[in-house]
Amino acid sequence: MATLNYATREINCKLVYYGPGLCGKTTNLQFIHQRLPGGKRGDLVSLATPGERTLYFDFLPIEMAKINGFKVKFSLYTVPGQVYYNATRKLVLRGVDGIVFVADSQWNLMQENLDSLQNLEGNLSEYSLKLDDVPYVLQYNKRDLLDIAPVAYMDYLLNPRGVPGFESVATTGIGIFETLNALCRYVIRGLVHRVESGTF
Amino acid sequence: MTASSSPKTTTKRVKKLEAFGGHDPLFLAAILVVGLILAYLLHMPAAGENPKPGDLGTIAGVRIEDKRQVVIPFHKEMLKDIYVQPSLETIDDLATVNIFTKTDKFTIYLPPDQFIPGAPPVDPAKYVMQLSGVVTLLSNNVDIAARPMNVAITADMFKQLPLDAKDSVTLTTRNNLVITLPYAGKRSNAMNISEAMPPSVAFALLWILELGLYVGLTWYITRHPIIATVALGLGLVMRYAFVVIYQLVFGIMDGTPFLANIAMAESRDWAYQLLNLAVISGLFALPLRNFLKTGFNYKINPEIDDSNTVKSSSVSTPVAANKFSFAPKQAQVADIKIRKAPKPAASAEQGVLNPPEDFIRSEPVKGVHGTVNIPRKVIIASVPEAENILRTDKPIPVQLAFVVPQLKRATVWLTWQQIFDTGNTDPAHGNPNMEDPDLYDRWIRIPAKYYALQVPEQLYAKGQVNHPAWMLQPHVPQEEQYDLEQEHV
Repeated sequence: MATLNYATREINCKLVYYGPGLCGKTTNLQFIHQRLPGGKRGDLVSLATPGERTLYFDFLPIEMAKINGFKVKFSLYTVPGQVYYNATRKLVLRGVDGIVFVADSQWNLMQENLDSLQNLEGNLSEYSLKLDDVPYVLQYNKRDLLDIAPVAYMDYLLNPRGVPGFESVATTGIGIFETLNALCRYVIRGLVHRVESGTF
Repeated sequence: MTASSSPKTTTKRVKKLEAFGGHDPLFLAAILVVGLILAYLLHMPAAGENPKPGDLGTIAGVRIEDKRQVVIPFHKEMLKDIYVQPSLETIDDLATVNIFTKTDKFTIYLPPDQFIPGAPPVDPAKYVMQLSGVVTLLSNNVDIAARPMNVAITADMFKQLPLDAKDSVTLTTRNNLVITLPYAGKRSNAMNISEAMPPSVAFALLWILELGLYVGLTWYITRHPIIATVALGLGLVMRYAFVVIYQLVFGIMDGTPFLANIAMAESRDWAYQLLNLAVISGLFALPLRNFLKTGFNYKINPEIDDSNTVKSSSVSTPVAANKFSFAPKQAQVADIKIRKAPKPAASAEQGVLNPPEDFIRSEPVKGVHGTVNIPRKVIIASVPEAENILRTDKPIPVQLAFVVPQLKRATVWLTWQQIFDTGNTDPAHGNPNMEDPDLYDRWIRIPAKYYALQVPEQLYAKGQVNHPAWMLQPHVPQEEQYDLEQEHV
């Protein structure tokens, strides 16, 4: 859950990029890291195999504009997508404030997308959370490839709640910041709402 | 008696027990580790320990006592921590020498002529070297500051030393402590054991070797109480054999006569001896424990859940089979319910596919008509035998009524019969159901790619979408300005 530090006037939020293996979660963070100036983001911490598979998680702290005098900081995490790293995924989800579900648009990975989404719901339930409680957006990645499913079908399959979905090409940056901005706004809305209602 | 754990856990446990000769490996490992650590810690004298009267502690594995002749190993390690600084102070006919170690500073007394240039009977440097041996002894054993005169070495004593003729010299302190010092100036070039290996390392290696032998012995011991008792006797014999070896080895390292050492060996390290016995008892308690749990020489038939045909290896091998020759010939079998391993699902490579565990077979939807055409290769990927049955490359029509209930799954699973239902047979392929009736129940996996775009759009109707509550929260003023990309580009 987000933390509010009155002494340093900072709000810290945790965002997690979730999705099946090799769908482009780390590439998202790499592009954000590359685009943001050094003063507004920290180092990208990434533990990966030589085959570019995330072993533990990636971490990138970034900073947003001030809201009511409070500096908003987002900690971006990715999870390892490979099936057998579920314990790590569960761990990374602890205290999450928002989720980007990155789906691979390739036809032959539809089942993996669906399995990963179900895995996300299962892991959230371990913390007594549901996707109805945590702001999340969908990102349909790899839209530049040829053998991909239409967005309408992916929406039907992965988006029963009608949350915002964004087409993206993480390698070139298309849709990366649209996705992140949308999620950040939902997270901030939730924060402001909780502060105003006195539940923070 | 029936094990209360789950079948899977039980099977694993049986295999573990088999691997460790019927002993609980965790229990065995815990005893060994704790024993090793405690034995090592107990045997090594603690820093700053106060010796009993008449007992000056231990150095290099040798117990130093008053009125007993001892030899102080003199090796390079000692010199690292010690240096000697002559002082200008004099007391009577003795000069003081301040001696510093890493942790201590104390003073001993020397005849002044040893430090007057031009008049030493022998090279002062040699005395310094000799004295460092004394210092090491004392700094490891007694509180020097409390009784400095005990170690005063008089000029007369030094003058009597025939340094050129002996490899070591013997000094007697005023309270009759006899100290023999090796003579640095006449050292042999050959490296002795003390130089090659610090005594503590040698001791630890021997201790590990001994424990390894204990483990090896128990490895072959069955859970027969008589055999266990015999083995305990063997263990005790081994223990005393090692005591002799210790004394022999350290006697060689110290130069102490072997008989003098062995005579005092058993009376000293009571904690170490006690621990050794505890370790041995612990090792032999394992068979005893198993005996108490299972009874003497009993045998029962394991309850085998024979719900499938795969034979479990854990059934064919009795637990902790008696390998020791004295053991009864009758095999002992653990009192555990053994469940055979479940039959593994056939993989795609073996030609048989099965839907995932959570798959629920659905009935066709009424009122939905039409078909989707599935490429022949999709069928063959799931049922390789179909290659000989589906004679043309024409796609296979599959009834939509079977597909629609699974649209949310991303992969449709249908049986051969559902696809090649008589009413849906394409004339181009004849009637595959009739070709091979054994294929009726075979599953065929159809990825979304091959049907999703053929399903009419209206069948994808979502119905009413209920947005989550967090989507319905009011906008924050100027939230559109919160744009990470625009802020920083």
